[in-house]
Amino acid sequence: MNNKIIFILVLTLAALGMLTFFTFGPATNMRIGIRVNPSSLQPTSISNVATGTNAALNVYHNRDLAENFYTIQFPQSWQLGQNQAGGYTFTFGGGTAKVETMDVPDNSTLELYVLSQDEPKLKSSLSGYKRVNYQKLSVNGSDAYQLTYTSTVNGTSYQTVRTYITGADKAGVITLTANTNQVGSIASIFNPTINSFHWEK
Amino acid sequence: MKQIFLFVSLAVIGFGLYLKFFYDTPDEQITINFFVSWFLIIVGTSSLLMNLFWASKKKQKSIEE
Repeated sequence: MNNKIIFILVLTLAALGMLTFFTFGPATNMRIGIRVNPSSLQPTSISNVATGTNAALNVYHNRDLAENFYTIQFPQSWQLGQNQAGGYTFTFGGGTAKVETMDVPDNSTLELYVLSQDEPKLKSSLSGYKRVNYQKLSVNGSDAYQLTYTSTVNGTSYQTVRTYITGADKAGVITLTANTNQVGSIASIFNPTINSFHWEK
Repeated sequence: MKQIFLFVSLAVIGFGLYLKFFYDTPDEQITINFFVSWFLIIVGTSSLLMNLFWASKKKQKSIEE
C-alpha cells in the first residue's frame, strides 16, 4: 500500500466521522431546516365574522418545515387536545376536529393518493365506513378534495368531513367529525373552519 | 478485475447521487437519506481514487522494471 492510498483511507474515515457527527449530532435541526414558527407557540385570539355569526375564533399556525406553515381558525369554545408537531386536535360537544399535514409522494397526485391510498386505509380502519360524498373544491386558491363519510364508534354513528388541501410540499388535511344527528347544525361551523385554512407564503 | 472495481465504485457514487438529488424522500426520513447518500458518495469516491492510484503505482513499477 503506498502513501497516497493510506492518505485517502485516513481522509475517508475522517469524512465519515464528520458526516456522522453532522447528521446525528447537535447541528441536525439546523441542517435540515426545521424551525419552530414563533407564531405557533400561542394561539391568537380574534373576533371574526367568518362564520356568519360573531363567534370568537382562535388562529393556529403549524410548526414544521417552513414550507408547510399554515394558518387556520377554530372556534374558541373547542377544547385544544394534545399538541403535536404540524397539527392540532380539538374536541367539542359531540365531535372532534383535527388538522395535520400529510406527505404525498412525488410520483402521485393528491387526488390519486386520496382515492387509492387514504380512503382504503379509512375503510379498513373504521367500522361501518360508508362514503357519503366526494367533491373537488378550492380553498383560498388551493385545489382541495373533500371526502364525506359515516362510520360507527361504540354503536354511535358519526359523520366526518375530511378535506385534503394541496400544498407546495405536503398536503393539509382537516378532519371534522360530528355525531350524525348534529351534522346539520354544525355544518355552519365546519365550512368556515375549512375555508379559513391558508398556506403561509 | 480493475474494470469491475471501477464499475462498482461508479455505481456506488451514482446511487448516492440518485438518493441525494432524485429520490422522493418522505420528511421523516430526511436525516437517514442525508447520511446514506453522502456515505455512498464518500465511499464511492475514495474507492475510485484508491483504484486509480493503485493502478498508477503498478504501472510505474512495471515501467521501472
